[in-house]
Amino acid sequence: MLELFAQGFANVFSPFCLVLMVLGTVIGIIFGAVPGLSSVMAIALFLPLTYGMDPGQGLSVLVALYIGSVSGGLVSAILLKIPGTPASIATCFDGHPMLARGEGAKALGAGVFYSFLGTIISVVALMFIAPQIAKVAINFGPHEYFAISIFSLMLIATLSSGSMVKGIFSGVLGLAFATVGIAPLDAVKRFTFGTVALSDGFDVLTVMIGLFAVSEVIKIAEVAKREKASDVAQVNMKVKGFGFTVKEFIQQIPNAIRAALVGLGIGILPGIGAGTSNLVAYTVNKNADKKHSDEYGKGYIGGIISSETANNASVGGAMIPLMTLGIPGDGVTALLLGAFMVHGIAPGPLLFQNYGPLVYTIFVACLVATVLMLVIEWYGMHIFAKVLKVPRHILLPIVFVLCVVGAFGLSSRVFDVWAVLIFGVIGYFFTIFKVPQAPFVIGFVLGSMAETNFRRGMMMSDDNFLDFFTKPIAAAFLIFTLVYFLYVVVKEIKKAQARKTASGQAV
Amino acid sequence: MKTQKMQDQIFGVIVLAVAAFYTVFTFLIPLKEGSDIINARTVPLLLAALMWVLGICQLVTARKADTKPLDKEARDLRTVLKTAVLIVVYIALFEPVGFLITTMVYLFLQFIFLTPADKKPNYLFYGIISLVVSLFVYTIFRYSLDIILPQGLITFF
Amino acid sequence: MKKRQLFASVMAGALLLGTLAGCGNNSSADGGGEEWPTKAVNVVVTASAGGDTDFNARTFATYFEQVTGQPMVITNTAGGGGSVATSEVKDSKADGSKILFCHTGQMIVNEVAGLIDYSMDDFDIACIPAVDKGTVLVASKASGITSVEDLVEKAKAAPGEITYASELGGYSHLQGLILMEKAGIDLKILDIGSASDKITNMLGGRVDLAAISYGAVKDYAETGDLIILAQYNEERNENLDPDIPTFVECGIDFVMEKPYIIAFPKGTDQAIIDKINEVAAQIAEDPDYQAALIEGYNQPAEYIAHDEALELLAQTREDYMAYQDLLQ
Repeated sequence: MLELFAQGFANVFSPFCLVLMVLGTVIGIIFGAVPGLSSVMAIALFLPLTYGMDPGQGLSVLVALYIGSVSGGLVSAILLKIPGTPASIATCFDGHPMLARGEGAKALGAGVFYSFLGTIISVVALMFIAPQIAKVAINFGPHEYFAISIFSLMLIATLSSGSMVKGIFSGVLGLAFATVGIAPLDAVKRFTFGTVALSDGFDVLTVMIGLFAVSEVIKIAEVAKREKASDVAQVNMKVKGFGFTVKEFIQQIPNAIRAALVGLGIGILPGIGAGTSNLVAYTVNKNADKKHSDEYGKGYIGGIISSETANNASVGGAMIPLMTLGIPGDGVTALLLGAFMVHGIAPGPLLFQNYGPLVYTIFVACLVATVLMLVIEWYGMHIFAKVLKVPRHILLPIVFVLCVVGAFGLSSRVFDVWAVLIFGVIGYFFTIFKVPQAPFVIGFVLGSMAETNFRRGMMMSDDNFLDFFTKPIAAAFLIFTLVYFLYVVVKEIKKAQARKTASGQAV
Repeated sequence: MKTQKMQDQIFGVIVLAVAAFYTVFTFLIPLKEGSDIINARTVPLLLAALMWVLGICQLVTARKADTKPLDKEARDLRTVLKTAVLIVVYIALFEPVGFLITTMVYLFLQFIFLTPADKKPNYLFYGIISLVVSLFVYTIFRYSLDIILPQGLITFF
Repeated sequence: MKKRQLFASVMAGALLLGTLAGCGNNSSADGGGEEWPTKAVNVVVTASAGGDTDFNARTFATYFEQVTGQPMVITNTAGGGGSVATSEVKDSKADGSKILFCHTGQMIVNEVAGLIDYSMDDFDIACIPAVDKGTVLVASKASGITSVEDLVEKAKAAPGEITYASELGGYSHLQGLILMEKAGIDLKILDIGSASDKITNMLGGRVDLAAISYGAVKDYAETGDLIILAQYNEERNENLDPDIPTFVECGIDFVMEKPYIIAFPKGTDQAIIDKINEVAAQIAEDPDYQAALIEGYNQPAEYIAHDEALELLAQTREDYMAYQDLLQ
């Protein structure tokens, strides 16, 4: 094994490969940070270039892009309150309040450091226990996928700090938008109003940039005129290290571990990944971290740690089924699979055995890319912060244009741009009525997965719904969902009663 | 939107309106012959039912909501409306007129609309930024991402 | 303030003027057919990046640029079972600037399944640039099925018990239906999803059979987790494991090769269609291209020219139409 490692190092540390990896990481971070540009675009851009390279080097570059892009989303999430990718939605919750409090540097520093940690943990898992945990993925059939998507939805819908009804409505509306288009299984057209464009439904990128970015542009219009020219946010970038103390690091170890486990666990399941894991980890930690539960969402470092550790842990997680089973979990890993196939290598159970040197080259590339990401983002923090020196009335229209071209670039049609606008308007109404946006996005992402697998499961079980409760994994998730829901409802009612008595005493 | 209570009630009504809309169109989903108990309408119906429940819950809880006036958040609706119209026109002309021209004009106007009241719009500066950003984005997409943005009137590159 | 408003209205006027000008200018076409292509050609692919259709399109595009000097820009439009892409090309300008790259699944099966309300006749089909010959029928270890003969025997003993993984209304569904008819057996067809979902569910023992591309199951055949039963080709594809029999050899008269199709919107200049046929023929001869196809998807290069392609597709369509009621 050491020999293979040495070989991997030799491959990656060729000057050509290293230069490309640095470039890949930088471009990945940019694609991750700019709303409208996605990891898939970044990798699709580089994929043809790797055709002509040696497979190990080609994949190293793609891995660098992947790792960079998942992490890059944190920059815009913290600085602009617009997540660059769905993987950083939960980073906004605490990142932006921290920035507003003048702790932008600390927020960025924590995000960067825990992105690094999350990736390293998942890569180590990939290296040492991949075949064992890949078996978990095989045990997930339609019944289990249905159960876990319902479980994740419930967790995230009840996350909202304000009204639970609003949180759940947001999730349900996301689910409703996911039903637009061709129905799973029987291919019935739903809510298409006779148009071809709607038969494909909406793309998740349009949902996300609409809800977060465009609504932010409309919102800025509310106050733009009143804003004083001098009201430009200033970030003090003079910090030591990553901005947080050793004490905080020790305190946050449990949060980081939980987030890493959630990220890894969700990452290995094909079909769900970093976009879901960051929010699930955030919710789990908010509930588990009892002492600081109320600080989440108000600029608590633990929130950023939860989100950024989990989303990057999902990267290594997603690589596990790809490399041990040959099964891609999302658009990015599907492209990576393509990169293998072009060289005549079909990843599968024998990949480690037949292509040992290649596998170890990829492992080393993951580690190197993670370190590169850490170094580049740490130095880059100072450059990112300069973005905030650009007045908002200049910056946000430019962000909007990037969203428009990003949406258009999905499949070269203006329909997707209109979709962005529609979701922007919805997002704006959400901010007026203080409805959280995150459940909508997750409802949308998991909606078609939940429905498709529900119907597939029913078909497999000859329409016997009880099968969802006789399969142990599915049953466990569904029962836990139910119990958790009751727990939250009881808590809500108690809180309402407490408020009532408090106001009663006041009168 | 003077009080929390009113706002909550309005929201409840909106939820019910969405529920009604969704329910009607759910019943318009065509079904295939021989569709059994579980079909293309099942999940939409479930969601519609959930929306009705949520709307009613919202209205019920809103009755007990705070009736104290909310902080006056003056919304500059004029600017919001101008921005919204500008964006709609921009997207509508995006394909026929082409990315470069529409984006330049959009950015230029949007900068002006959003300029803080105590600051004078710097037309020359805005113009240059609009031009540079449009050209830069177009070139990047065209030549490195292989995505041809709508060319419209400018077809020569 | 006034000055600003004036400026704004002038700019808005300019925008409006732009629209008017734009309306009158729509017909600007791309020169004559002989010189085609004079600029980058946009290729709409009916599958997402990374799969076999995308691979074929991209490989073809690379060599297209070598031959003609103009790049082919690939747009992946996978949505709606490929119907979004086919509709887009059908409705675009017939000036050779936009091409459809798909396979019979989108061009014919979608029509048979009622997913689209138009047919291949609404396009100008140019040629068949390549044919997929890598698909194999696979059984899971848990099913205990070891060969096609064994499958037929077991299926006849317990009709409707053996499960077959497909995407309902799609190409793999049709593959299953035809297999059932030709072999005279009854399988339980389930909706499982993409190739990845099929593999996971077969490994997990939740489904017995599926049609998957050879490359994706090669390793599992070696470890014994999955058993390859037969290939869908007319003659054995020597680039696969040479021991995989064809269905015909197993006594079932069943051949289902999957041709890729290059198509233009209806009304395209015949000169453009002749030109791309010329280019495709030249590409198919290129040894580098041939090697790339074999390395990527174990697929020998095969090019079928315009007239022959049309004939083949029309025949295929007729064959598939027999299953229309079952597929919808």
